Amino acid sequence: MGIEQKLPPVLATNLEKVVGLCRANSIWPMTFGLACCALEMMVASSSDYDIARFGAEAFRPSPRQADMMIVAGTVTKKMAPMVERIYNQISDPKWVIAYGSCACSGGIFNTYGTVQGVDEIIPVDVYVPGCPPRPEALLAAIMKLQKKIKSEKFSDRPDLPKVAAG
Amino acid sequence: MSEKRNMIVNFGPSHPATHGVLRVILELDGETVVDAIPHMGHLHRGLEKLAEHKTYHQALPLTDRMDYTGALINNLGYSLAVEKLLDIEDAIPERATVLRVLLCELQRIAAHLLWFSTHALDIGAMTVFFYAFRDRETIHDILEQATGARLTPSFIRPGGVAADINDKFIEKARAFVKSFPALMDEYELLLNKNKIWLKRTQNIGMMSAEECKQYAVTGPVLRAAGIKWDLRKAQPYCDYDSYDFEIPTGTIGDVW
Amino acid sequence: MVQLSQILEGLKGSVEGAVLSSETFRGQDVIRVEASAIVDVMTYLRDNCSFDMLTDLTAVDYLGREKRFEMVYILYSFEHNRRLHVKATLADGEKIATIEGVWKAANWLEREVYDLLGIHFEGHSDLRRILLWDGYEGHPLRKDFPLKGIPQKTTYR
Ligand code: SF4
Repeated sequence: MGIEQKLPPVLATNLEKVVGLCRANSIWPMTFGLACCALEMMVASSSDYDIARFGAEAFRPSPRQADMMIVAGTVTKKMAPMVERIYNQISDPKWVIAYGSCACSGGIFNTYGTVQGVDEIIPVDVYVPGCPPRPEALLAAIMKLQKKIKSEKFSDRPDLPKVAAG
Repeated sequence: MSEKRNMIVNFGPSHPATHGVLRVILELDGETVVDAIPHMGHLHRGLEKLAEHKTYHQALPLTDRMDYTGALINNLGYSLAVEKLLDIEDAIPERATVLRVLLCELQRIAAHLLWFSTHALDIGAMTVFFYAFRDRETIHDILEQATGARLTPSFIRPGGVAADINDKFIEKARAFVKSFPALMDEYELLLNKNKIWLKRTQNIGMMSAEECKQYAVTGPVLRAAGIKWDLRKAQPYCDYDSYDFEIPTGTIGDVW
Repeated sequence: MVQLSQILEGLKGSVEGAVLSSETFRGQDVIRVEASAIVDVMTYLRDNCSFDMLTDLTAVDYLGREKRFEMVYILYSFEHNRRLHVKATLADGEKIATIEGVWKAANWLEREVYDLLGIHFEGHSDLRRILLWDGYEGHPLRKDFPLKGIPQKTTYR
């Protein structure tokens, strides 16, 4: 954002906390259902599990309006360039959840067609193993991510210019 | 005046209206699609090749993941094929056959609910999604009671099923079957007077019976075109001939 | 219900020398035909035996045989409620005529066979890869293609 570099340190730390809190409780995920796991992601957003309780119900189909990408399902080699491009289109700050064994590590598909885990192409914040993981697991992952976002410092963010120490 | 040109639009592979990954190159004349070239294979995971490297039993979990909305039905198709190949069709216990039918039909309802709700969601009727998913969850609860998994059970296996059902399953399934007709009325109430939904389905995407045969289209689309054909009646498996059900048919083969 | 023998007889009468053999395995009728006569055979079966739907078209790689590929056509007749399997063998590099003109469904199915097994269909209107991308090297369903694939120079875009 830039203003934090001009503020006195005390204010900056407090601002950090406020920004973190806001960001954590209004994550806008981007729907990126690729395979079976996408169904469980949809279930998580529907009546029974109600992802809205965590402020993450605003599923955005456009990467420009989202700040978290849930990669749900198998990333094939044909799809991989698109995953990368879409990740690059999300504006900073952005986070990624790899949902399902396939997204984490390729799962049972160790074949010519499959990328062995999305972390080969984009950085991942939270891994959720399972084939498919239950919807509760997605909610747990979002809570984990919220914790991480809340504790993030401006200086940790790779997308911001480093403030000179002292 | 400049000459009229059609617009070429790339649609997908990640687009809000593509559930899953499909890419279509569209040629548009205003709002009308003149030509569409689909590009598929974004979910080509190499299942066939992988299955070649496994034994009959090991390949079963792969069938779950082919059409993940109806995993049990895939299990059944695969198991029936293996049983036929091994010539053990007559050795399948009757209880297993009945269980297979029971589970598959439950799964079929769940799969239809999924299709139905997301299709309505896409063309502008969001509420149905929440209602249908609520009831889909009920079915998945029931299936989980029997199979131990929500989406990928691998439960129907060559030779029978993995385990017997318990009383809780029976109780839950009975309750669901009783309540479902009323729920269907609810869905109809939500959609049948929805102008947007009607406008976007009636007389849209028509396909005649002849076209269906040319393109090898079966199932609901074929029935919508007016042909009374259902594999469960035409070439019954799993003793489907001993069940009594009707084949619903349409007349003109549109989306509605 | 037409019998297999009736179909065979008709086929032998109208398409000279096309039928090689036939068998019934677990209740499934199989006819083996000469690959060069495939279009004539299919047209005959559609027009005279009322096989009005092409359920599936695929191929199998029997690595090590002299003619390594076997094309499999599965037909269905609504009128008689019966299926028929038609098979034809091909050597590596040998081409077969497209049956797109008989059933339109063959278009994509033939593209799939071309993509995964590398069999060429003569006269096909749009023979591109369907599941993998243009520029992909190798045909994954061939038995000598490794499961993990081979490194590719191109990516899909
Ligand atoms: S992890 Fe399992 S359920 Fe999820 S996409 Fe992969 S195969 Fe499907």
